[in-house]
Amino acid sequence: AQISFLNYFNNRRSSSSSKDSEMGPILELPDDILIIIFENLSTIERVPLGSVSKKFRRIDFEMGKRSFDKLQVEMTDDSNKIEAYTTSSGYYSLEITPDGRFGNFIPKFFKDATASGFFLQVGKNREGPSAESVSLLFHSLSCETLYINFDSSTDFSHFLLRFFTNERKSDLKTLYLHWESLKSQDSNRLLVAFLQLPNLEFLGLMNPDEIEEPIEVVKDDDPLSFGLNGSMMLHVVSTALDCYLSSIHCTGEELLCAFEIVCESNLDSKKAKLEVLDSAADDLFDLAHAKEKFQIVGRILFDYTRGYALAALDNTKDATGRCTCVTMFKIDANGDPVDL
Amino acid sequence: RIYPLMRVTLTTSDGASVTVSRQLTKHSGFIEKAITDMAVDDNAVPLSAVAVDVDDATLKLVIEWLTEHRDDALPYPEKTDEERRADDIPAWDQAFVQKWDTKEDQQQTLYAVITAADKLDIKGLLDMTCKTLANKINGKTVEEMREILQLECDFTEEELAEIRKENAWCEN
Repeated sequence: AQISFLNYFNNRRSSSSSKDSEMGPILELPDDILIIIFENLSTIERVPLGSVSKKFRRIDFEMGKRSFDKLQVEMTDDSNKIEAYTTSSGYYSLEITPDGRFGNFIPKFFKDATASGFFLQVGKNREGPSAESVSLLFHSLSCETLYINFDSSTDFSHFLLRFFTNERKSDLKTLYLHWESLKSQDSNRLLVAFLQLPNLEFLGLMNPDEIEEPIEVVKDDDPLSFGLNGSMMLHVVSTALDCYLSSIHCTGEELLCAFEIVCESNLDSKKAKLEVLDSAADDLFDLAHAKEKFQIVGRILFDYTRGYALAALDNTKDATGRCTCVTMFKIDANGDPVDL
Repeated sequence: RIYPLMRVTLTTSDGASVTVSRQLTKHSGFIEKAITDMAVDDNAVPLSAVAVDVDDATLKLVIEWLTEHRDDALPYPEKTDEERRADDIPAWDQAFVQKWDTKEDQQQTLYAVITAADKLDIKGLLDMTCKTLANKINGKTVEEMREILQLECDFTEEELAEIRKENAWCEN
């Protein structure tokens, strides 16, 4: 029995002499079937597809969903490139040119793509349009772990701030920032933007010179290793409704200031959990003692004058034994926490 | 509820008709919907025939596959992108395809079965045949892919130059 599908195709073949008629029967398949076929190929196995024919090229880009092990963007003096490594042996390398020639290609190629790790390194002399390329990449890509290292003298923090304020990427779970990048102007606001990422579990600091130093910031109940000085801590406390920062390098005065921020807040659920050096916690109580508006009972600090608030010291110390956890939250007239 | 003894008559695009057990047709979304649309009591036997836009020869292959897979789980399990792999085609299916997927056939039957599986909405068969085709082009160069799939390059010189530029970053 002759197959009608073939009849159709053979008829087309014999009745037409155009180049189109020489095309194989695979082109008769609907797009969604071609997608099912191509989905069986890995990112690296898909590489030749885009060069086979126009239809393949269109579908390959429409499918998107390329998956990479590691994506590395370097914008430094020596190199200006994107490198994408796949799980198998292959890897891609792309020069980012200032003229933005690949402006269309990047969002097309990285459509709905995933990368386990994204490394972003920005040196002093980066070119303007490159930030746009990174923005396009960030936008199309989903990744769990992001490593950022940019020269603090550039305005890259400004770009990052704008991007992460507009786009609360829900795929990001782990974020590392290089210590040096914290010296930039926007670092406080940048940290707050990072801490507001909905699914961030870990915010870490890359500090190759002082790896031994216990510096951590914690969000919710998941420890985020990070390094914060007092002014950054205050910025986070005043912005975030609930923060849990650990191993903060601050003074007792700054700690008292954080307590004042919680007291002043008209939000019942305002909370801050701060892990500080023992000496800073001791200073907090000494300073509070000197001021009449506070009451101190044991290792608990009350403020009944403006609303109710409480700062409690938790004696659990970290492994080094030099840190104390100070918890600050609102209490009601009975002394119970307003928001548990 | 599906009565295993219930039978369904299918008429093919070339006018032939074949009667099969509902146990087989339950794997076809298209036929199941057609039966449901008839709004007849499940006990009503015989049913009116369901017309399928598949030729007789291809339908015979489809029925052969359905007979082997009559006890497959329903609904067909959806796979995530991570779970998807092309090297897990069962041995029976591989042998089944090898019988007719010969050099002379030039994959014409494979395309016909893929199209039939799509039209009849038989997910397992569609998945298996698409994997078979994917395995043919897996790891092949552009030229080899064109040869296997009987395709010709339809890019203009300018487009090729642009593709070469973009592909310059694909190194292995």
